[in-house]
Amino acid sequence: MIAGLRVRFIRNFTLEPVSTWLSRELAGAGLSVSCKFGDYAGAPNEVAMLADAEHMDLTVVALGLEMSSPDFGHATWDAEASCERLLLLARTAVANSHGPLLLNAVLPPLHSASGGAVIPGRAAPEAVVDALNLALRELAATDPARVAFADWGAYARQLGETGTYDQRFWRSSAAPFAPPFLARYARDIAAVLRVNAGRVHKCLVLDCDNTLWGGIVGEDGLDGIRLSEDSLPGAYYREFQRSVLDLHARGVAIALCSKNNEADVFKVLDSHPDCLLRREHLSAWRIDWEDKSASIASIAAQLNIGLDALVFVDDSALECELVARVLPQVRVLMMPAISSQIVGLLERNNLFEALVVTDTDRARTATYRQNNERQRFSAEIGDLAEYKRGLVTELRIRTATAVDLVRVVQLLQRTNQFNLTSRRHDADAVRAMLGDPDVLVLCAELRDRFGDLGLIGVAIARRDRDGARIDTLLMSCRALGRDAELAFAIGLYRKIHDDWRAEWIEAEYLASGKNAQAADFWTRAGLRRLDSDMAVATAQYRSDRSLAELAQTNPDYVTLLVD
Amino acid sequence: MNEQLRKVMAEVLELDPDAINENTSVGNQPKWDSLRHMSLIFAIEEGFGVRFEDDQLPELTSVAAYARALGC
Repeated sequence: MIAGLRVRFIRNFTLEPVSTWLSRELAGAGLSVSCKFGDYAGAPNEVAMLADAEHMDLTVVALGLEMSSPDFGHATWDAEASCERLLLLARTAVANSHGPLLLNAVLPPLHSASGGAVIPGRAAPEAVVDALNLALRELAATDPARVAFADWGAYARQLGETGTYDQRFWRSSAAPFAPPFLARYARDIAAVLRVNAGRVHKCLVLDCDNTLWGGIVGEDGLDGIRLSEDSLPGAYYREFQRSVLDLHARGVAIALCSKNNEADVFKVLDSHPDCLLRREHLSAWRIDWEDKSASIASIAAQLNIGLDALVFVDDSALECELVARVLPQVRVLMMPAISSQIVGLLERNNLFEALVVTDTDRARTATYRQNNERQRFSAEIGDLAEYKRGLVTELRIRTATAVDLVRVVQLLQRTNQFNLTSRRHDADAVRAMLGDPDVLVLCAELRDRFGDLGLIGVAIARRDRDGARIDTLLMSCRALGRDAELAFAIGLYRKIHDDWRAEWIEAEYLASGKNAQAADFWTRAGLRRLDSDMAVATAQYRSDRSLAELAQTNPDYVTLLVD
Repeated sequence: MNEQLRKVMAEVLELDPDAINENTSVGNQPKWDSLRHMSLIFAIEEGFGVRFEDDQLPELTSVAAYARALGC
């Protein structure tokens, strides 16, 4: 278990019970959390002091209108004043804070004090709250890589009155929200923490029969399976497929793992008029009679992502149980037994959270598909060196600018395997580096004969007198296996040498439990290891040869362009 | 004592399950303050699928009181 994450809550109501659900949410990801709650009445003071507050993994600014005034929601309630005060608190929090922050939309009164009647000359409280929520959402969007947004309105819609409020503790202890609401909020808080810690789900692995459609295609046939919009349960499955496509659209890889005849399944995907999921949406599939845990492991290997990046959905309790036991890192979801609950299953569990969706995310599933073509090409060529040459890889390296910030922070958060130090710098830290003449932040972009992979690498170096220290070198797993990471290191040496006239560099490898494949990287990249204790999880390296010489090396297989 | 009750108590009070017994109460458990009182009621209502009445709430200050209220 990773050492405890630390979360600060600044709030204007009693929120302490949320920590029970937050601990539960994070325990599933192997994370522990400690929560620090500010003073119930101290929010104005605390947001003002955020500039000097100690660093936390997340600051949750939980502000509601419920306790804003004793007459909240009644005829005498001054909605404008309450909303204005709340917006000021949120603005101050965003302006003063440094690390990751979570804001929220607020809830309007449950009932209209005017009975729904229009009162001439006076804005309806609901409209005032709507305007506040719009302003809060825009406020969060001013710094999307740092400020996340929790939509309380969505929780209330999903949970209803009794799932949202608990009158007993609202009226006695200033704690308006009921356990289902707190659990839903905890899930979103946990999601932000997981994303920032690099624990994101990247691939949805789906069973087929009674998961993507009702019935069993091998027995019921193409015409017998239930997928039509005009009848139940077909319409539920079709709606479920729409949710799958939503995930695909934001960059989640979709894979199939089904005990079936491959031809039967593809007959549905290619030719069933009501099937929305098509072959081109898939990044990988294992459709055979193999053990599912082995199939799922091979899907992870093919996509070059960790098992903990997978979510597996199946209708069979037995399969779910087996996969959960053999591959405990995989998140397993069972299809609900009550078929109407299939609708919204993926949304309710919110396992594919992302703070921002970048262009590269939207293009990612295309990249996974291109990688399948690359692998087929590899199989045809056979010889590895010939394959790498045949890809015609071009790696362009340039200094990062403010435009790249969101993607750079995302790579720092997400990249595990080829990440020499796994330092999870946040948006503020990276922004400060971009303006620091003694720090070099580099981006690497890759393209080859099959397509453009976009921005896939980040390197950070700090000047140290007549030398430089490498803080970060990472490359997305999609770009590995063609020596592009070696080319990136050479490009980094070249930039350091040309920009700073540096004479030496030092680098390190910090084992994270997930980056073993990069353990000997610096040696391959021409550096000498300083310590000799082979067992340690951290290793220091230094340039022996002159940096000028290292910088002039030409990478094999990759055309290196350094701007 | 009821194992599910022990588990929820330990989770909310952030104690080792072995530290919870029939005699645990507000009086001998410093972590059991008014906020944990509320968190415990929430967690136990959720875990056992029950809802306590208003007049029960102030009385739920010991393991014994929960055992009586839940009939376990």
